[in-house]
Amino acid sequence: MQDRPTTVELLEAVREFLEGHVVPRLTERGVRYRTLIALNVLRIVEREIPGREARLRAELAALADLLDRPRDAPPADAALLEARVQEANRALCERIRAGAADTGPGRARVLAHVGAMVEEKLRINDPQRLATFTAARGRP
Amino acid sequence: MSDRGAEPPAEPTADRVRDELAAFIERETRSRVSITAFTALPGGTIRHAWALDVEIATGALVGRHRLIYLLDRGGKPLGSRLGREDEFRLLAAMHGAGVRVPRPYWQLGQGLILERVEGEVVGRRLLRERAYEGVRPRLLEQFGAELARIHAVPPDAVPGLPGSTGRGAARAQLDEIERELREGGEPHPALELALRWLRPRTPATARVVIVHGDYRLGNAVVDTERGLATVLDWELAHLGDGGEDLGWMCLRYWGGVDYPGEPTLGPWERFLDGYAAVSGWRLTPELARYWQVFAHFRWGVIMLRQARRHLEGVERNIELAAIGRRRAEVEWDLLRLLEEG
Repeated sequence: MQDRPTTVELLEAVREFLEGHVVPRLTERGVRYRTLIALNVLRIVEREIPGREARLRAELAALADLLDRPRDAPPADAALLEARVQEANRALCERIRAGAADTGPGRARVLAHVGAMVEEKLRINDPQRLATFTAARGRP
Repeated sequence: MSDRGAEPPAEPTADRVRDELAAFIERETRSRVSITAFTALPGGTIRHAWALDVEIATGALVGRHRLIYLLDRGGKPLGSRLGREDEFRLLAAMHGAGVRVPRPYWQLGQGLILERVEGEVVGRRLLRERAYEGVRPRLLEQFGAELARIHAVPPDAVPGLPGSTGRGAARAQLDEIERELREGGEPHPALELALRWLRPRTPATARVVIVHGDYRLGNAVVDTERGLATVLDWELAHLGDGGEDLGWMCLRYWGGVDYPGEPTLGPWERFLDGYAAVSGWRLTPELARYWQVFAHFRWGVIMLRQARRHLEGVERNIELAAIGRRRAEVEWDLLRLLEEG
């Protein structure tokens, strides 16, 4: 086990340093703009790391259900797990191309799954925007 | 794919560019030329941009000219982009037809020298700054009207433009984006759902036009008095079904049209009204839905391409990398459209 700071704590430290001490001194517009983007990228990674593998396992299980496959034990290795999720998404894409999500309950299930995954991506990439989106969705 | 290829070319220095431009304009005008002001502008990810004021001493262009010089950044150009020569001819044709575009002066290698139209481009500032309060209410209508003028320019006014003609144009436009999705090779269920929805609904193209290809808030200069002053960024122009331009404007990403809880310039319909007022033609509800979904699908695929540009080392750029993660926003809106049927 690595010593503290943890991965996320290190990222946080880098981001806080840049925010507090570097950005205020940046005067060139283009550089400042791109630095703010870079900081936002760090925030994404900070949110993404905790629970990342659990999310991948959950996605794999949901895809197995959707594809009527048995829920095999997910691989322990993170890279392998990612490859399996990718493969299952490839299979889902093939089903969609074959018309399995054109109408009826098949369509509803696929839309619900894909919608949930998009929401999960947004929760990591831009939770503020997700909040705006869901608030608007609740409106009449 | 970690092949970064050759080292990226060195950033051109302002002094060198300035000297090159002065020498070039002197040759073109056979006149003494002085560059009285020269500033680098925050360019896009594709191009460098400089603003320059030029005094031409003698000849047909005698006097002071406010110009902009756009120069391609290094790296392999995006597949579907116009060559500089075609872009120059296109601008000349549009300018000749009275469309609000920067007057094109010269083409210099992989660069263009154009009239510089003063005003604001950035959507965020147009929406917030008080100076634009007066023009904001009519901006969407102006955008629509100007697009109708662009689409009124006959397609053969600019020979050699890429794209498709005939009744199958809309189908070819969809084929093109699908091809690009396949090239990436990654599975994207949301985009796949969109494609599956679009295929059986692809309309027969009634009239082929010159499609701008990136017509939106952020690609036009807005003046505090006149409102829409000039339309920029023609490098994605092609022949095809004009519905593509009409739909593109509806993307939330540009910040131009209202979404629930996010009021901006007004409803997308106002833009369509402006278009109809000049062209006499309006998208039917079915076509409006088709080109809305198409716009989201196309933007999703282009975002994939932009992130790949970074990942494959064509252009290492934090903005391009970050775009890869903003695609989820577009998928969100896309799914809302698909859920509605």
